[in-house]
Amino acid sequence: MEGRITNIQRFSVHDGPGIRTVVFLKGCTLRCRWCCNPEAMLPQPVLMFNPQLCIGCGACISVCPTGASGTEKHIGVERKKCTGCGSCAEVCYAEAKYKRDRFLAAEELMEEVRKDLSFYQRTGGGITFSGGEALLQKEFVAEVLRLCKAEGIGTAVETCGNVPWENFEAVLDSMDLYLYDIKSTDTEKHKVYTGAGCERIMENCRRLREAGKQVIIRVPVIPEFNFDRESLTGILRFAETINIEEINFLPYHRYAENKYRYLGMEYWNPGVERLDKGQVEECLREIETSVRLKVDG
Amino acid sequence: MEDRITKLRNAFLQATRAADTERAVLVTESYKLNENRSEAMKKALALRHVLERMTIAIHDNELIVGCHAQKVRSTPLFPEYAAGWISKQMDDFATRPGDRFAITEEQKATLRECLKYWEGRALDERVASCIPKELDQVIGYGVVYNASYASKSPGHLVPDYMGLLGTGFEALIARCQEKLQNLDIEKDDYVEKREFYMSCAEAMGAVILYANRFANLAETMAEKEPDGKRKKELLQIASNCRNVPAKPASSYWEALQFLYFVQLAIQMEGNGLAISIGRMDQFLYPYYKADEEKGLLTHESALELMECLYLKLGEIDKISSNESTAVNTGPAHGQTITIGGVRADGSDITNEVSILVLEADRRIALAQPDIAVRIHAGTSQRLIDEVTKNVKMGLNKVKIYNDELITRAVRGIGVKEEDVYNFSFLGCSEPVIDGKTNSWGNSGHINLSKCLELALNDGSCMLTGVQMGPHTGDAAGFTSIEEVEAAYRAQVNYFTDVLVKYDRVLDMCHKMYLHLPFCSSVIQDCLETGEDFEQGGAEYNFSSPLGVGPITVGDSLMALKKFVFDEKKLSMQEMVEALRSDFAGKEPLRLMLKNRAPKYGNDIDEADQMSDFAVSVFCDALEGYRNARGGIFTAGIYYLTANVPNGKHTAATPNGRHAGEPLNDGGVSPTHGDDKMGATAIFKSAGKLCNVRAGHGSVLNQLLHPSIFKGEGCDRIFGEYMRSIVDCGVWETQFNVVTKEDLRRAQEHPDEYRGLVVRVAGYSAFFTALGKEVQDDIIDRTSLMEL
Repeated sequence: MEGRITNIQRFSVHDGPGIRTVVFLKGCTLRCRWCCNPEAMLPQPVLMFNPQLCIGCGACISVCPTGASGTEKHIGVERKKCTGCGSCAEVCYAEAKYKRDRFLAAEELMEEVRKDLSFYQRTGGGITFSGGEALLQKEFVAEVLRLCKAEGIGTAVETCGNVPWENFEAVLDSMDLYLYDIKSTDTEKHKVYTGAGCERIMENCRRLREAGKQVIIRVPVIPEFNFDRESLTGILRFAETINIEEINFLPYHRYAENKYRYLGMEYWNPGVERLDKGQVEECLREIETSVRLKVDG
Repeated sequence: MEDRITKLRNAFLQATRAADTERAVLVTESYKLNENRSEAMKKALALRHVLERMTIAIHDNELIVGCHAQKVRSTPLFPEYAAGWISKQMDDFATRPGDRFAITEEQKATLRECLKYWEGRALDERVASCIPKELDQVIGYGVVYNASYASKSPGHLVPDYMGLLGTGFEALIARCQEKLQNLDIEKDDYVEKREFYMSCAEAMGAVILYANRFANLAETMAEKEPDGKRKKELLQIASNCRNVPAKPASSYWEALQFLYFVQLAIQMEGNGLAISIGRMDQFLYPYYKADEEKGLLTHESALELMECLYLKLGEIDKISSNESTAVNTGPAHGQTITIGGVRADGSDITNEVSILVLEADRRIALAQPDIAVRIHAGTSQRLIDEVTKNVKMGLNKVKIYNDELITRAVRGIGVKEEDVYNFSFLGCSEPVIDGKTNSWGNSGHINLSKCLELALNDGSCMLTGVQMGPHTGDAAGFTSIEEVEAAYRAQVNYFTDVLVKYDRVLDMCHKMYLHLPFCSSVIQDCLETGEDFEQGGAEYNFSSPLGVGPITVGDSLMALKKFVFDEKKLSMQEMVEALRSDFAGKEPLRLMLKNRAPKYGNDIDEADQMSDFAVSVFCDALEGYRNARGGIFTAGIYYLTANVPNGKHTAATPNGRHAGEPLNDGGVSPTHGDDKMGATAIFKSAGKLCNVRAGHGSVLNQLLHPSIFKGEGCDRIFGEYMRSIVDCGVWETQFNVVTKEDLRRAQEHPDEYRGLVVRVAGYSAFFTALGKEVQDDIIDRTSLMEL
C-alpha cells in the first residue's frame, strides 16, 4: 500500500502537541478559495514552475514528450499540453520546475517518521497527517497509524471532515487527536467558497465527539467569507453543542500566493493583505462562550 | 531595569570605541628604564609602571570599579607584542570595515614615537626571526596560519577564582617570598626561579596598588559627594578596593570586585583573547549565600551588582589588525561565564547565581560576557526555563553544551579523574579545567576545504597555480572516491604537520620571550613549581588548531561520490576542469551538484558520514604530536568568522560552491540553505560527527525564527529540544533568533541598532560593528529561515 505524498515536514511545533513530523497527503474533496496547499488539493500530478529560478538552460525543452516546455527564448509550461509527467523536473537542476508528488510505502514513510522518535518521546509529539485531505487515503493512513501505535508514536490528523464517515471509522481506534476544520455553519456560503456544503462535515465532527474522540476545532478566518461575528458565533454555538474544549482561529494570510503562480492557477484575491491577530480577537470579543478560544498569529 | 543600570548602559552605548595611547607610552617608558632586567621582571615592572601611573576614574553610578583605559570604551594598545602593524594601520582604525576605533592625529604622533622603540624588539619580530625559512614559505601560502600567537599572548585561560577569592594576593605574595627564601643557589635554575618569584610578587603587588588607587579615589570623591546615598556607596567601594584583591573577599560585592580587578590585570598584562571567568555559580555561590543569610543581600541587589559587573566586562576591548579583524570581528573577545553542569559528586549545580547570570544578561544584553550552559540529564528545569527566556529574547548569547559528551572528551585529552567534572569554557567551545589549564585554544587554522582543492589538483592551487602541497596524483586518473579521500588525507596530514611545527616554534618563542607573571599568579601550580604559565607551569597544557570548512569538504566528497563514481554523470576530468574555471558556462552542472546531492544537516546518513570523515581525518592528523609545554594537540572545529576569508582563498568546490564564497560557518553548521529538514535533523546530523574526538569542541550555529516560540507549550518544547543535545551527542549549539528585516534595517540604520547583538559563529558581537561582508553573510543565513 503506497501513499501519495506532497511533502514531509519535520520539527513542526504548531500541528498538535510537541515536536511533530507532518505528512502532507495529496488530493482533497474541497476547493477552498484560500487554500494554502494548492499542490496538495489537486489529485492529478501537477508541475510547478518558478520562473525566478530558471537559468534558461533549455534542458526541459529537449526532454518534454508533449512539447509543453515552451521555447528557448520563452521557457514556461503550456498547461494544456502538460501531463505533469515530470520529465522536465528531472533535468531542472535549478529546481525552477519541480513536482510535489511522490509515492511512498507505509514502511518507507515510517523510516522518515522514526528519525525523530527521541524528540517525540521528550515532548509528547508524533506524526500529524495533513494535506490535502489525508483521510481520502484511509487505507494508507490506517496502515501507518498501526505502525506508529506499535512503536508508541503519537498520532494526529488535520482534516476538513468532508469524507464519508467510514473513512473516519478506518482510523478511529488509533488516531489520538483530530485538528478539525469547521469553516462555516452556513451551508450555502460554505458551498460557494469551498465547493461543498457543511452538513456532512458537522455530522462527522459530532460523531467523533460521540465516539469520545479528542477534537480541536480549527477555523481559518477569511475576509468576506466568515470574518464576521455572525459566522464565528455560528461555529462557536456548534462547538458548544458537541462539547468542544478548544477552538483555534487561523487568521487569513497570502503566503501561498506564489504557489498558485507556479501551478499556473489563479489566486483568489479577497482584496486584503492579511488579517491580524488583533482583528480576529476584536471580532470575537463580546461573544460569550465556554469554549477556550485561541487566535494564532 | 534599575535607573542606575539604564544610565550606565546608556553611557556605555553612547561612548565611542576609541584608541588610548597611555598604556603604550607607559609600557615603553618602563622597558626603556629596565633594559638590564630579566624578561620576567621587565614584564612585571611594566605592569607596575602602568597600573601605578595610568589615569583612573570612577564613573557616575558605578558599583564595580576599574578601567583599562582613560574613558569608557577606549582601548589600550600593546606595542611590545607587535608594533609594525600599528604604524602601518593606525590610519585605518577609524575607517576600516569592521571594528572601528577613533584616533586623533595627536595620538598617532605619540604612538609613532613609542613604536620606534619597538622596531626590532616587539614579540612578533623576535618570533619571526626564529621561524625557519622553509616553514615560513609554506605558512605564506595561507592554507595554515597562526598570526594570533605570533603576535599575542596566549590568553584563553580561566583564573583559579575558587582559590583566589578565598586567599587574596597578600598571602600569595608571602608564598612567593617564602619560596624565594628557600631557593637553593646550588641549583642550576636558581636565577630563573628567583626572577620568576620576584616577578610574580611584583605583578600581584602592582594589582594591589592599583586597587588602592581606586580606594583613595573613592574616598576623595566621597568627601565631595553631596548625595548621601552615593557617598555611602563610594565609601563602600573604597572599603572593597582596600580589601580586595589584597585579602580574601569578605562579601558577594567584594568577590565581584576582586574578579574584575583580576580580569582587568590579565588584560593589561597581555593582549590575549578569551580571558574567561569559569564556573561562576560554583565559586560565587558561597559569598551570595553568606550575604543573603546575613540579610546583606537580596536577589535584586545581587542582580544589580552582577549587571554592574557585566557592563564593566563589556568595556574590555581590543584593537586588532585589519587581517585579524576579518577573521574575528566584533568586541566580544570571549570572556565567558560558565553555569550549570555537575558538582564533584555528580549532582546538578544549579543555584541562585546560575539564575542571576542569565537574568543579568536579559537586562544588560550586550556582546560581553558570553554565557555557556552545561546541560546534562539532571539539569534542573528551572535553569532550562531561564535559558529559554534568554534565547527567546533574541539575545543569541547563550551557548548550550552537552555535559555528558564533553565529560568523556575531557577525560580523553588526559584530564585527571578528580578534575574531570570541573570544566568550563573559553571564548568559543574549548573546555578547560578552571584555574589549571594553559589551553592555547585557537592556536592556528587549517583550511580543510583548501586541502580538498589541492587533493583534486595534485597539490597545486587552482586559483594561482602555485604548488602548495605535496603531489598526490592527477585527480583525473582517480577511479574511486577512496582515492580522492586518500589524497585529501595526505594534504591534511602535510599541512597539519606544518601547522604543528609552526605552533611548536611559536610555543618555544613564547617560552623564551614571553613571561606572564600575573597569569602565572592566578593559575594553580605555577607558583608551586616555580614555572611561568608560558613555560608549562600549568597542570594541563594543550594546543588546539582549528579545522575550517569540514562540512564543505564532506558535502563535496558526497557530490563527487554520487555523480562521478556512482552515477558517472561526469568524469573526474570534467569535474576538475569545472572547478578550475569556477563552473564558467556550466551553471546546470553547478546546480546539479548543489541541489541534487545529499547534504549534511538533513539527517541523511551517507552525507553525514562524509562530513564525519572530513573531521576525523583532521583529528587523526593531530594524533601523537606534543607541544613545547609537554601537552598534546587536539582539534577544535569552531572558527568565528574565519569561514569568510578562508573561503575567499578557496577555489570552487564540488558541493556547488563558487570560488571565493564562504565555507560552512561556525564549525559544524550546515552550509547556508542546504539544511532543509529543520532543527531536529540538524541535531541528528551533527551528532553523527566524531565530536568526542575533537577535544576542544565544535560550534553548531542555528537560526531560529521567533515564530518557534509562538503558541502554548512552545517554551517547554524548546527546552526539551535543548536537552536533547545530550541524546544526540552534539558538542555545542547556539541560536540566532532574528528576522532578515531586522538585520537589513540594521545595516541601513546602524544608529538605531547599536545594541543589537548577533552570534557570529562562536561569539556574540554587535551587528553594527561587523564588516559589511560578515553582515551580508548573516543576513543570508537569516533569510533562509523565512522561506
